[in-house]
Parts: sequence; C-alpha cells; structure tokens
Amino acid sequence: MIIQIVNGLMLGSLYGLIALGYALVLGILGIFNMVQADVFMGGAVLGWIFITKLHLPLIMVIPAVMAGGVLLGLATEFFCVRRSLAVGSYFVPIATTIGLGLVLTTTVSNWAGANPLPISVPFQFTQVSLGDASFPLTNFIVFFTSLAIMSILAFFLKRTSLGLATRAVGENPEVSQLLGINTTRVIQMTFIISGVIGTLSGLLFGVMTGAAHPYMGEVVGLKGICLVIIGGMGSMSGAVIAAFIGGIAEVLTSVYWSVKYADAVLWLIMFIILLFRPLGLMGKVEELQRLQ
Amino acid sequence: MIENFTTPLFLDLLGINILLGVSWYIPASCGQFSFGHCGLIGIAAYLSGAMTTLLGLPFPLAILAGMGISCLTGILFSAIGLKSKDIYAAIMTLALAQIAVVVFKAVPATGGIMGFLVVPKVTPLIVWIGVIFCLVFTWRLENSRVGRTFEAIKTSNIVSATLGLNTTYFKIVAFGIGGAMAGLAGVFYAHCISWIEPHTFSIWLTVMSFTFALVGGWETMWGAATGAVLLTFLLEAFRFASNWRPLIYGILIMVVLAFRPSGLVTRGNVRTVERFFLGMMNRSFVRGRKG
Repeated sequence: MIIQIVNGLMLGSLYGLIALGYALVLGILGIFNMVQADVFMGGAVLGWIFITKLHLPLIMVIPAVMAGGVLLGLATEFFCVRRSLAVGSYFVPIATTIGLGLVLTTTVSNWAGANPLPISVPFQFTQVSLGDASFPLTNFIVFFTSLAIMSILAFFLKRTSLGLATRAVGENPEVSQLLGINTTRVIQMTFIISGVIGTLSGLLFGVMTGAAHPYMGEVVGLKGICLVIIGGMGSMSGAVIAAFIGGIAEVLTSVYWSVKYADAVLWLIMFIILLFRPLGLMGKVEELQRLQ
Repeated sequence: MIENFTTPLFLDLLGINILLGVSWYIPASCGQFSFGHCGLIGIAAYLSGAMTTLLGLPFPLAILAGMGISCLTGILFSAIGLKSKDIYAAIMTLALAQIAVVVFKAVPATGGIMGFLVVPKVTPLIVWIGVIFCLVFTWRLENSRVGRTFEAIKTSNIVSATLGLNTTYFKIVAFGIGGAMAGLAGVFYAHCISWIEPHTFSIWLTVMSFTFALVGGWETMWGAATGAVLLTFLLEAFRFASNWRPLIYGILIMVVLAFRPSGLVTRGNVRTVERFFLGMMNRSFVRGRKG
C-alpha cells in the first residue's frame, strides 16, 4: 500500500507539471490552451528523435527539447492566440489551439507511424531500494526534476520582476500596459514557459514509460485540464495538490481495481468535486470573473 | 469520380455529418460549446447497436433509446458543469467523452477494445428522413420563443438574466436537444458503418462536428449544414490523402477563424437569401392579382 502511494506521488509530480502548463496560460489570459496536450506529445517525440535516432548524450537532449518547447510556444502565440483573442468568445482560442494540435499530431503520426516510439536511456531498468521496497530510478528522476521545475516556476512568479509583470498582466492587461509593461512580450514569455514545461513533462513521461506515442496527448495531456479544474481555476498550488491526489488515486485504482478504468479516474473525481464544490478545491470567485 | 458521390454509404455519411454539424450548432446557438459529441454519439451507437444486434429489439425502439440516453447524458453533465460557469460545462462534456471511451473499452458484452458487429439497418432514405426532420425542427426552433431566448443568452448572459430568464435552464435545454440529435446521428452511424469500436469515438469525432459548424458558419443552422456538405464533398474528393485529413481540418479551422471568424455563411448571407426568396414570392403574388 505504502509502495503504491509512493508510486502515486511520483506520477502525481509529473501530472502537476502537465497541469502547470495549462494553469500558467489560464492565469494570464483566461483561456484554455488545448495545444498543450500536443506540446506534451511533441516533447516525448523530440526525446525519441534525439535519444533513439540521433544518439545525443542526455546532457544535450534536455536543452534541445527545451528549444523545441520555445518554438512551439511562440508558434502557438503567433498562429492561435494573437488574432483570436479579439473575437471575444472563449471558444475561439480553444478551437484555434485544437487546430494547431491537429496539425502537430497528424504530421508526427504520418511521419513516424502510429506505433509507439521506443525511448531507451542507459539507466532504464536500474532499481533503487528503499528499505525492503525497490523503485525504478527513472521514477525518482522524474519526481525530483518535476519538483525542481515547480520550485523554479514559483521563484520566477513570486520573486523576479518579470514574474511580477506576468502576474500584473494576469490581473489587468490594460492597466499594466498603461504602467509601461510590454504586454505582448509578457504573453509571449508565458507561452514560451508553458511550452518548455510541456515538452519537458513529455520528455520525462517518455523516459518513465520508455516510449512516445503520437496520440499520447489525447489521453495523458488532456488530464492537465481536469487537474486545473479540480484544483480550482487560477490557483497553481491547487492544481499541484490536485495532481498529487490524482496520481495516487490513479495508481491505487489500477492496482486494486482494474487497469482499464485508470484513465477515467481523474475525470470521475472532477465530476464528483464539481458536484459538491463547483469552484474546485482552492478556487476563488474573483478568479472566475477573470475568465474569458 | 462522380460515382463516389452516389454510393449509399456516401449518402448515409453525408446525412450523418449534417446531423453532427447541426447538433453541435444547437448548444452553440445558446453560447455553449460541447467537446462531448464523440461521447454522446458513442453512447447512442453502443446502446442502439446492442439493442438491435444482441437483444434483437426493433430498430425504431433503438432510435428512441439512443436519442433518449444521449439527451439525458448531455443534460446531466452540462447541469453539473453549469453550477459555476459556462466554460465548466464545456470541460464537463470533455470529461464525458473521456469516461465514455474508457467504459466502451472495458465492457466485455460489446467486444471491449475490439468492437462488435452491428446488423446494418439504415438506407439513405431513412437517414435523409431523419436529417430533414431535424433540419425542419431546428429551423422552427430558431424562429420560436426558445430559439430567441438562446440568441439572447448567447448575446449577453447577464442582460438576459436581469430580464428574468432562467439562463441555466435554457442552457441545459440546449445541451439536451443537441444531445438527442447527436444520439440520432450515433444510431444511424452504428447501423450504417456496421462495425463499431471504441477508437471510432475518440475526440476526433467532436473535432469533426465543430469544424463543420465553424467553417460553415456558427451564427445560423444553415452555416453548420453547409459546412458539413462542403467538407464531406471536399474530403471525399481528396480521398487519396486520407491520412492527412486531420491536418486539413486543423489548417481550415485556424485560417477561417483568423480571417472570417463567423464562418463562410454568416447571418447576413442568410438574410439576403431569405429576402430574395420573399421578394420573388411577393412579386409573383402581386402579378397574379393584377393578371
């Protein structure tokens, strides 16, 4: 039981990373960035290209994948968001980002085939023993990397001046523009950060499961939206807490009930949470009014 | 080339696609957006397929059951989502889609992940009777009190609430009607394709239905129907590139929303056509009286 909870925490840390990618853009612009699911897929596929096909050393893979995330984030901002924010309906940015996501998924699945793409790292089967239980080393790497990225993000948002500007734009774009903040630049920055987080979480997921898949975004990537809703709209700490709860719930379901139902557990939790707490675990009413 | 467009299968699919576009348009006319169409269609397809094939019940009963279950599911999920804000209803329908696929994969009676064979029952005649019924229904709905209420809620939620409209109730009604229509499409789909599997009802089916509405125009039902017809013919003509179909859809969505946000057929276009026909009718009427 305790072993499974530890496994759940490790999966939860990865889910937290995925959810933060959505929560950032949601907090600044009040829109759901659906392409994030495919950026997640893109990170894993980039990992496959760099590790399995090009045999780059791991230390170079990470910056290369991050560069891919920067490009994807900028492309999302330029092609999907810049024009569609002016239309006024919250569905328009969702639809355009889904459109870009379709372009990415189709390109990858036609180019690399619809089969799982293997990612193998030298320490794939190494086990670490803690007491009388042993865990795969990759899970530990995923856990600590996710925690490190989350802390860096929290530091950036709370302590740096660019983070302050980002939060100001989230609060009120017009006023922050009057105060001399370049809002376009800040929005681009947000998309770059969420793109980098998305690709890194995809890479970590690929390393953890040993494979990338062109359609993995549809199942795993979309869970980020669900976690953001469970945690409460606009609350990053809520999303992370929801991710840990969700990871544990998913692992426990697949062990004690059936693997078949594991993918539906998060959505069922969301169903139940919204039934009793329509704002999510840590949501506030003021945050809701900022939504597009 | 031409014979591709006259096969019974193509005519069936054309009708089903029109149903998909229009059923997505009905919640959209109330300002609500559904990601759960694949789930609604899938539930109706599985239930009706199991009823006709595994239990041997008559087809009309299966149609009613399919429409009913999709309608109720749409109502349930949207009602919970609408407790806080519109966008939550959209996300709840996404949850519906994700849960439905997992359940389809896990139920052994309908073949699990492999899917199961449904006895084909529909002919193009039946499908098109359904399509024309739904189009007339939607047309009358748009011009009714309920349709105008939808329009008011879409234009401004707050103003219509201050005017004493129960906005949540009407939004749920919109999801219910859209769900029933999607259910009809699902029943026809199961009995025309005759092999249904969980993979068919992935999020891609939802993307298809809202691409029809977005490209064709999402201000009137004619836009959604036109979009469905146009895209079905276009994709049948580009059959050799069927692997790249989602890419074509994606680029179409992005380009149309960037340069013509309300779609190809706007409300203004529809008004022009209506006025033209009205004018023709009036002229002939006047001439008839004189002569």
